[in-house]
Amino acid sequence: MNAVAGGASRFLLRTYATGRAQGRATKLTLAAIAYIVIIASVIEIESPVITAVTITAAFYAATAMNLSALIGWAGQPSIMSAALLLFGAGEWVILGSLGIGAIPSAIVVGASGFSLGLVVSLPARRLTGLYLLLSTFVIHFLIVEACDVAQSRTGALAGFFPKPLSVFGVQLGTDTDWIIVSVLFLGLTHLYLSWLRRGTLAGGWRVIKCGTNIASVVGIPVPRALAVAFGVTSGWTALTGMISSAYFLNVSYDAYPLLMAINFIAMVIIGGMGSLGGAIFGAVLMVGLPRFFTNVISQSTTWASLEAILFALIAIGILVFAPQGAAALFRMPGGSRSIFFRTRNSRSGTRRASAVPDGKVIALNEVDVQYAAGEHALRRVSLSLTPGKVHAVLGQNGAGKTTLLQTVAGFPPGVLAHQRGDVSFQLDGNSPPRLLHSTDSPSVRVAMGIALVPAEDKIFRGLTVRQQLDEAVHTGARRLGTKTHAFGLEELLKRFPQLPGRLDAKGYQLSGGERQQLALACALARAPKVLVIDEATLGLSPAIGLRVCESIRDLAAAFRIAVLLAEQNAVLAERVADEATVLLSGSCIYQGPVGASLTKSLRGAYLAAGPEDDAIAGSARRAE
Amino acid sequence: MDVVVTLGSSVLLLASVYGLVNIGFVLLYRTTGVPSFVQGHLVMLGGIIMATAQQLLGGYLLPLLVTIALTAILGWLLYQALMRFLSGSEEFIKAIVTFFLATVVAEITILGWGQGGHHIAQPISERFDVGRAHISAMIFVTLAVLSVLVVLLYLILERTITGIRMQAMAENESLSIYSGISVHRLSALAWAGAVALAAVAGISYSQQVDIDPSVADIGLAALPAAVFGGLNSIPGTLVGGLCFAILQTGVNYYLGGTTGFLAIYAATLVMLILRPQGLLGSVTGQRI
Repeated sequence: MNAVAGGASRFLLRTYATGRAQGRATKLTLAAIAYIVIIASVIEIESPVITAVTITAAFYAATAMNLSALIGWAGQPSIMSAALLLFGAGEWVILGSLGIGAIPSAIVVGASGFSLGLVVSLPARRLTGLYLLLSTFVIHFLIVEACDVAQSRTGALAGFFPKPLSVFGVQLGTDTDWIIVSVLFLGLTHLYLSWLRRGTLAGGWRVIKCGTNIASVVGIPVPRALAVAFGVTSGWTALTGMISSAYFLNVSYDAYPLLMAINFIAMVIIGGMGSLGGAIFGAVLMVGLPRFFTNVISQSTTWASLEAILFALIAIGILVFAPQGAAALFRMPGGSRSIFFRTRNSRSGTRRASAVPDGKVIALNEVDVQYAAGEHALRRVSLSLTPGKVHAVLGQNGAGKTTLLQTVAGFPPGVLAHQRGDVSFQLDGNSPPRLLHSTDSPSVRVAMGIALVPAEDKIFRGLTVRQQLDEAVHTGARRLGTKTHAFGLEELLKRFPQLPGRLDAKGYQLSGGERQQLALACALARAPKVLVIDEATLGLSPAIGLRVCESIRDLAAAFRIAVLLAEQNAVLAERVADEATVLLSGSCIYQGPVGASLTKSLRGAYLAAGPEDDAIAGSARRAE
Repeated sequence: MDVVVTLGSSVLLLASVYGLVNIGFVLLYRTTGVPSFVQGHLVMLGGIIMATAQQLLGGYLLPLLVTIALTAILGWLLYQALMRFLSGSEEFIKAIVTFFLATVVAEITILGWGQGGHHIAQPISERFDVGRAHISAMIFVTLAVLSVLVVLLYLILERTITGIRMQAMAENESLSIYSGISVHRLSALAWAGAVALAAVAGISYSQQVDIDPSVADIGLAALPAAVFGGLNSIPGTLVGGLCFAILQTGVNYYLGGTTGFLAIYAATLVMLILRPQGLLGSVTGQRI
């Protein structure tokens, strides 16, 4: 047997070493040696438990690695790994009973697994996320139920018994044979997927994972690439199922439950999606630990249940706190979704708020904002808003306008921004000032009297105008603690002449101007002291844009609301605003009254056009 | 004729149970964006809690109310303790978390109540005889309950401020937060409702079967039914439930065994490939 192991090691070393970069060759040589050591030591130990764990873990790891590639590289969720194993196993039962040899059968199994993957990818052409998950969910049950029906029809209630595997006349029978075969198969899987990862195919998948739009712009044929992603991983998994069935020597539908498929996902999650080594780690952990507990601690079913609960809770914990996988926990501080980042952010809450200057409602003091991904969006910007006045924020795409607005109105969920410098808010002269933190959610700020009208998606498309107004009036009334207030439905309708005729229209039926009116009406109904408006005139004709701006000015004056208005159109902004701030790459280059000096600094801002990628980064962030 | 009556009454019951499970699923999916694969297990858990409450308290109405209250609290806790931390996560992550939750619920019921079945005594035992077959009067009670709940849910979603906010939240979470909607409170409410609905489904199903761990499989069939009818429409899920109840009962009767399951999964796959939004679903709403 040692001769076989030695031959295998020479083969592996040669395969790994040829034509590869020096570093990779060294790494892979080490991996090969590790394989040999594992094989040799497991054979040496001669423990039936360790043998069984090693072989099972090797097959499961091969399956988990394919799943990891599909989820982590191509971003396509799947819960049909268990069914694919059953698919390959079932095929081997049929092919073996027909007297077809192992190698032709393996080719048939791989090819049919590949075709099955293509079929599953059909919904992926048009659907993502849940629907895709559902189609793999359905495939799982189709295969498992088909096996169930086949078993009850043929009377094979204890399952089918596949032929043992024999390759080139050598029949695999002993545990030692299977240790070598399973671990070598694992190595081969690793090699195959690493080769895929380096290729252009997997490169395309990664682009698709970033977004199908980006992929089609780059010229990647998305449906074909996804079909191949499903095909190659499914084909290999089916092959794994065939080989492993020859080890287990029993194929029964109830050995491949949905729970098994979920466990494969758990392995991938524990190891980190897209990581091949992580998938092996996860498989070893999930196969090894239960056996270990059963042998060492207790064999009771109670313990088995507790253990299952424990694994599920660990997986949930990883998904909630470190969706990048357990490995990401160790490199958290720089990560984009780190726990530490969150706590650091919220800790600043104990400081006292500095007073807001007299006659102002909100004041920003040297505010600096950096996003978790690292880009610096605002640099030491100060600003204060006066009730009844309009303050315009001007600048190019990516200059930091939206970020400045969000420091006032709150950051959207899921965006982690690190903010330094104070934002203090004072409702009126009598109430105490309050410090706003970057973690204060926008809905909390609405309750305090700060409302935002976003640049895009400013109304709910599926609700009628009346429903949206009712909801907003209700929020405003609750904030003011009274049922009747200045912004009741009738008053709103008087102020926005286009709305009364459209009360029963749904959001998506409204024109651009009507949407802006509805959004403003809803914001006004929430009875704000500070109204933050992002790009009010985006996509509107110049005449309508001017009318919208004028109505904003009238509203500010009539209800003594402080308005912060981001605007691309400098001419419009100059006509409606009292004061203006000009941003260039996150820094304030002008602040003061609207007039000749503003025009001069604006010319500077637009002529000193920042690098183009700044603008792209800005719009990408806004698209989020 | 007798066969038709017997099959018809099982179809009606199965369709109602699918309907009850699915309106909970749709409520949750439409308001919080979580595709909950734990619904089936919550059906089982609800049934078991009902059986236990009945043993302790006796009667039917009191244990029913206790069960609904307990499961609603459970749903609320589930959201506050776990699901709220997932807001902003990918849909896939949310779905997988519910899968693991299903494991937790399944194992907890096995730990607490064992593998055996639990019988729930029914309040009405009247039966209508049609020829040699008979229909249990409880089926009509279940249908009535389902209708009332559907109408109630429709009214809540369309006519109340809370319902409007739930719809707003489902459509655009970011905008609803900027509108001052307290997303966490509403989501917790949706979870409370969905878990209680699952319990009602389990209690209704108990008129035909004893509640044991295998009842959780109902969720695995109800979900494809919702997909078949259209995940984003409540009428769609009801129609899907009816179609699948007919298909499953019919195929099981004529071909025997568990071929009914095979038929519904095949039908779902065909629907997903040809018309992914389902029979009555609209194309615009992937996540309505």
